[in-house]
Amino acid sequence: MTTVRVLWLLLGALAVNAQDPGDVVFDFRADAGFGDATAGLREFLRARHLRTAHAQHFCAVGFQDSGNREKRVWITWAEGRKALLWAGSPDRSLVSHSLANSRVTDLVRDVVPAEADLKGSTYLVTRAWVSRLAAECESRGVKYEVRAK
Amino acid sequence: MSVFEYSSGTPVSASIDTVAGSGVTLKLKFSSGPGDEIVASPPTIARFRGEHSSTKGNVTTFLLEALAPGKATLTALTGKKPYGISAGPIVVNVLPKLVLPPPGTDAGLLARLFLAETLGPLASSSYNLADTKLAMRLMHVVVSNRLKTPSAIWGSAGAKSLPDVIRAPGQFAGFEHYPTIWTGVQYVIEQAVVLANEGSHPRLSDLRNFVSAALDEAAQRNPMDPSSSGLYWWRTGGSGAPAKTAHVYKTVSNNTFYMR
Repeated sequence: MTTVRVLWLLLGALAVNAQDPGDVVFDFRADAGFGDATAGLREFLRARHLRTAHAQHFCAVGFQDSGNREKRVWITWAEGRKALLWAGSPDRSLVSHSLANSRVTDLVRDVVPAEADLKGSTYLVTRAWVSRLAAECESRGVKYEVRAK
Repeated sequence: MSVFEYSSGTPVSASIDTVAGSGVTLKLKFSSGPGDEIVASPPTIARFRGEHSSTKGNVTTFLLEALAPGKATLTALTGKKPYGISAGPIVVNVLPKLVLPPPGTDAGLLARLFLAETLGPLASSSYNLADTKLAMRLMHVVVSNRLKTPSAIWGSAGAKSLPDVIRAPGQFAGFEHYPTIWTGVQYVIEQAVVLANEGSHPRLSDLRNFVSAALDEAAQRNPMDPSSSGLYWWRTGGSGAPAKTAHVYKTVSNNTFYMR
């Protein structure tokens, strides 16, 4: 097991409930706007010109709000140290494309120690939030091992 | 009668929307062998590109080139007696190309910010135009409030202009060194505009409405704050509150807006 995966497991042991109040986990694989992420993750790696033949490890967990209007899937990428925000697509044929072009949070650059350090940011996240997301993924997420090539 | 079809094989209805500077690949399926003449008129608006056409069996595939905004008609005329119309006329609506305002203007900065921060019609399973417009409006309110009331609480201490607010360190992903934007964010913005001008895209209307919404909102002055105590923040959906003193106003288009 790599150091990176150990880090994720440790973070995952810390907490639960990474999202907004009222959000619940949903099965994105069974949702028409999402589906299995394998092809999209491969497209994501290719879009980033990742040349390595080594397997990349992802963990995906879907959340929807209490009104069932907003759905999102957060995907942690262990080797890339990033989190992808995948919002799916209304068009089944574009689901992989939507994942490949999802918003990326850099879990090194975009993480601050505590809420007070956000200072109004729209996109920075706290260490505690990253820990909660990792915990959700460990307990309820779908694991993917994907190769770019 | 012959029939005009899209390249997918779907018959063309009474009209086609496309964009000036782009083209649409179409098919003409003959009812009785090739020989029909395809005509687009007036040729200053749209034209049939014969050099890009090919005929296989009873189908001719061709490029309809959109040259300038306006209306044109597309017709197939029979090549043998009795002469007459064999397909069409189809109305071709050539829409103007959408262009972002110059990056050095407030409207240019806002339009780019809205396109970067709002998920487009291909990027969200719950996309709808009304929510998109609302999200862009609320974003506009947030940056306007931050300018009206500069404060370190929402990252606008000392801001004297919209660029000051939006370039503030760590506030809006990719905009810290505007007009230089992070590559990934710039790609999202460019893709939105490119797709909105791709005249043959099957979701052209949604893609244009998305970019038009950003352009329209960016052109507004003094957007009205719908909240009771002032909107000063938004956060990527599910990424937590920006401060202990912030209260959720609404989540829309996968962004959560907060008031003080």
